[in-house]
Amino acid sequence: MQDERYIRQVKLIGEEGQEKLKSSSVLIVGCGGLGCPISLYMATAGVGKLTLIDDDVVSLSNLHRQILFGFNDIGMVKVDIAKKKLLDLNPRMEITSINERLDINNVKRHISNHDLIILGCDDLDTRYIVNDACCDMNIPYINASVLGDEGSVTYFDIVNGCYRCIFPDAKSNNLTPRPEDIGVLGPLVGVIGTATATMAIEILINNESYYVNNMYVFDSLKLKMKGYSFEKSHSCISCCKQISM
Amino acid sequence: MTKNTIMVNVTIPRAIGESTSFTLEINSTVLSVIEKLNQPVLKDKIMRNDYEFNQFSLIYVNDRRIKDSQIQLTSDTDIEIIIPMAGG
Repeated sequence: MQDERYIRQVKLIGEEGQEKLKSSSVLIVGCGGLGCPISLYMATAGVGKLTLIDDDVVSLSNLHRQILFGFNDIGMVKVDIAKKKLLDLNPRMEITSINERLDINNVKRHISNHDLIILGCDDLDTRYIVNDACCDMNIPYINASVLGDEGSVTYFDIVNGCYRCIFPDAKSNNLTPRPEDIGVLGPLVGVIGTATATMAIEILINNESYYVNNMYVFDSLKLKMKGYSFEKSHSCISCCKQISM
Repeated sequence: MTKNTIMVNVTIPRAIGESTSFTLEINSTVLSVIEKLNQPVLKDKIMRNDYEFNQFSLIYVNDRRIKDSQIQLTSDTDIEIIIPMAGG
């Protein structure tokens, strides 16, 4: 029998789409400004298995944008609070909370057995670590990010390119301003987070082709999300290495 | 009468510079646009040298990505600069 919870959504994506969500497994890297709205909509949409990984605790300066957390959560482990609140929203889903920092030593263990990875972390190094692991393991992922009052979301199916095809290396670079220096507009992470969750749901129900090879950038002053095309780099050290193996 | 100037709109991430619009002589290069911005820090950040862009900046001219800064502009142009964003 159809779950009443999803009646409005099933009208759009059908029973088959809803079943796909239920049988899906998603890992969200980062439980901050982006991870909060992404996980909220993954939970309420009916994704069957959700894994959250983050090594941080809630602080007062998080509360203007990290909407899963409240004043009484300050000092508590983010992924544990998030798991509790998400299960309250949808007790029929399976949530795994991992209070660790994703790094080069544990990344493959943590991303394995997931259908889709969503990156909402707060640094570039982790983005490259996850990108390279996803390429090695052929796991598609979404890269979501913000900077000040602008944000970006990009789907990488690995076959048609990866983050290194666009931005080959971060190690020797000081072009990219640090998030802690620029700051972030609170609701902007909601815009990018919900756009990311929307994209994730469409991907999980097999509508991924609409997003391949497009990087979407949102400008809060224009309230406009624009797609920029990109091409796979055939000299990419990540996704081309994977294909040639 | 032949038009010998073009309108150029340059969109720059606010974290590294200031977007602007101006007129230039037809056949100006993308590099000359960047120089006319008069934002030396921005130029240092997005240019590897006078010909190549830094691998961390994406330059789109009328929605098409370019890698050569010497491309000449022959009509009104939108130039958009994109850099990686790290925040979450």
